[in-house]
Amino acid sequence: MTPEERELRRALDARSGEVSPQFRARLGAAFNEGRPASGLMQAVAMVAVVAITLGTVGVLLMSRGVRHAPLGSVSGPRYTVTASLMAAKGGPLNACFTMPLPEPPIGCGGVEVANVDVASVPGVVTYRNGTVGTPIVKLVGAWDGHVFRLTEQPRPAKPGDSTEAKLVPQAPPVASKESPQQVVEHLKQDASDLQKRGIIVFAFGAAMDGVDMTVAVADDKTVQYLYDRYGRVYIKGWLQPLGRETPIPSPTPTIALPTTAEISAPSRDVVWALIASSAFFRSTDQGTSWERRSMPLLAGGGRPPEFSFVDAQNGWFSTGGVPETQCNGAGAGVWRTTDGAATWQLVASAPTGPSPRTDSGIAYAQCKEGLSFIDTTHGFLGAWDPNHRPTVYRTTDAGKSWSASTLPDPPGFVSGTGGSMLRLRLVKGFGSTLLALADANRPPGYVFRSTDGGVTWAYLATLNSGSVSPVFVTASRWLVVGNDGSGLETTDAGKSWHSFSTDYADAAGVASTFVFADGSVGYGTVRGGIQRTVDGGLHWTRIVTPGTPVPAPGTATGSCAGTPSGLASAPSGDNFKVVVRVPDGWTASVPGQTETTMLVLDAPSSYTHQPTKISIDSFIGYFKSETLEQVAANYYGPHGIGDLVGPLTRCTVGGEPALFFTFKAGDRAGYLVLFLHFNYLNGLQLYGTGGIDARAWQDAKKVLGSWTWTVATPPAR
Amino acid sequence: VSDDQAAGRLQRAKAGDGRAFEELLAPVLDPAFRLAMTMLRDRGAAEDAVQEAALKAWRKLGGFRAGSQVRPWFLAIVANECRSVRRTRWWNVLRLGELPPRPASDERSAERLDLDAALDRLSQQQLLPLTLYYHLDLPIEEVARVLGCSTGAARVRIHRSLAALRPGMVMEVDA
Repeated sequence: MTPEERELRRALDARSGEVSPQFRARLGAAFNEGRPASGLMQAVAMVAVVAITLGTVGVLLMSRGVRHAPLGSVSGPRYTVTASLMAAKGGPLNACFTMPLPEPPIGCGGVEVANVDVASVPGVVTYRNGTVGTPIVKLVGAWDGHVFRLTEQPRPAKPGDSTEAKLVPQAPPVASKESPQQVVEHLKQDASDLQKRGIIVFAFGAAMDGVDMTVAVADDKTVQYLYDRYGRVYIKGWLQPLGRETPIPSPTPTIALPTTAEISAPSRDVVWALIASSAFFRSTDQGTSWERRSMPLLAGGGRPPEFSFVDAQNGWFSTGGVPETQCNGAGAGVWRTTDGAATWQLVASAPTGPSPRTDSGIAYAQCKEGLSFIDTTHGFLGAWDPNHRPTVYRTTDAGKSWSASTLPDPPGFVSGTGGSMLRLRLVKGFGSTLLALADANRPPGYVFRSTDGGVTWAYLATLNSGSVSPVFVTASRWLVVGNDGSGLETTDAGKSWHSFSTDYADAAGVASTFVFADGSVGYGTVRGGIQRTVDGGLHWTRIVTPGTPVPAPGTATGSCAGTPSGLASAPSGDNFKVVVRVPDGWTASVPGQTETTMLVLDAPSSYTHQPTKISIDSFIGYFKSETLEQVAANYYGPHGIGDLVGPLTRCTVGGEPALFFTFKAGDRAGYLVLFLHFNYLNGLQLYGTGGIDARAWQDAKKVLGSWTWTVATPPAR
Repeated sequence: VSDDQAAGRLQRAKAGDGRAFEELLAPVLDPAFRLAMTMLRDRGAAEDAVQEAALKAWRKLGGFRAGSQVRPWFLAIVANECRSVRRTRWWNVLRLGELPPRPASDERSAERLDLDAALDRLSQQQLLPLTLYYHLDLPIEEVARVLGCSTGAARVRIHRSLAALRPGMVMEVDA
């Protein structure tokens, strides 16, 4: 090994780190929640298409039973789907599933048939497969708004389950005036138009007196359109409407460990939230209560979806597609809803490969992000790459067509040099003034202004604050708020800044992001937790993250906590707020960037007991089904904080089930108390050198006894 | 773990057994996290990336063939996830007034600081092969599998990354 290689290894090592036991435990908890549903993968769908076309693997899917009316707290269409599947003799089993229009509505997985995805098809609710095959496996699932989860294990179908192919009645009204070859040419030219209409053509070819076509969904509307346009065509439909409806209850889905919540707050009362990039919710009472809404089912890959709503009904989603190297190009799709996210329509898309053609006005070139709508017709979408100035696409017809303009280089910044590139983050409208925020994926951020609807943009301000998530509250009042509540404010559109103090607090190691609905109502979010302000950002209250589990009742007996004797108080928190009384003479300090230790209490020098340090910990982990003994096992032993000394003892802390044990690691020793608050793991650790003193334990119990929760909502991650 | 045990574990994980999947992933969690830390330089972001990668891996497990190696397969997913994280907003990885400080060390030579700075300047595409080969010590065949290219192409990418890191740097890449 050369000295240089040693140096490189050392430098790489210095950047690296080890897995913490808490993180390991969190992952374990996530796995034990059950496998998440698969994303929708167009590529998989195409495999299915190939399989169907080649006829090498017979696949049959029959779905029936549909309803539209919402049940329970989940809204949007839900389906009962019975799917029969088959395989070539001796070959792998294949599970097929529908996908949303205009994506190809078919997909087939490999051997596994669990957790198959399906999707809603706007306006058409259920289909029956029209291909030939012999079913050997039957699946029963429930559509819960986004994901088709199996409610029964796959089982062999009974004899007689076999379903014959149901082809579209082949009764073309009139022969085409054109030859089949000419019709084939028209079909090629019409590919994009057909896709926009939601007609997915898998295959077509000239036959003797017409054209043979295989389409994804052979519903009446599609068939009639094809007849009208092409004359005599012979249509094989993969899926055909059944029309039988069977309402079924669907369990309210819960999200155990959301790491993200994205928010759009279009008005004082209305707020939309996308949790963990997969579950979509609307609130019309400032986030006090939520209802599940549907989101367009988006092909996997590429950037996470973005969304923007302008009221309780009208909104848009966008995806950026899988980008080329250095963002030279990427597809894009924009979906629109006008009925409060009950149904979605693709209104614009970029080409999916290098092409000078674009029907929507959105080019393939550059990665797309920064979707922002300011009213029911006007919206913006950014596009960027390392070699050009950032593009700002704008629409004035609710997303159907887009025009491009560019952001100018701000002072001291030259786009395209040394990989420097700005990208649009968002556009916000205040009357006739539009503000755009862009950055180079690092500080500083730049603000641009347009007064002509986004046709031209002018540099306005540089956010030199080393800032976190800047938010436009009004056209001239902007805020920057840190997780520790400290912040900066400008009331003159960035000309001057002054400090701004809030009670916003979150111990997450990543910064929060903020949105404001108006001058007073706003939301902050980090790691899936959400806080709300109604006074312009001064005071914040944690609100329920929709879709997260409800608290489980405590089961422990006895108390781990003593009578409090402290005088001072110190707020702390990790997705919820805890007030801990600090014993007289002790000092409290909030550690730096850490997610587990919220507060450390140090004994005064006169303190004669051992140990002398108490830390208040919020461990990373959601434990719904594990016992505390199982949880505790992560914290002692070779990978824990020390060896277990004595038994694990059950107790309670503030009514929550708790457990404590004594540990020892070399000359360091102490107590660890673990307890669950809404299934999230918290703890208090008493530790130090010089042995374990029962009198110190009594003092630690006083701290535990003083512990009060100031927010009684489930902390969400 | 015998081949039979591994196959059984894979089968159970594919059937939705969370514990089996946890066992399957346990041996590769450490290298995965180290890869994410090296690429992202932020513990929170690395944990998020590995967690997302693990959930994606679970979803994709149906396509994982028995007898294949878990490590390169999972590391490829983690690497993709890191790329995705890096495309997110810069303010998601910064805290007010707390630009990540470089850990102070009196022992550090100016040269080492230069090397750190040079690593910072590398693109993810350049950093990834170096991390896989020099930090995780993966054999070149596995590096290639994670990168999705041939072993020859993997060697070329390592050499190019070294050249970008420091012109004239001399290192041997196993043939």
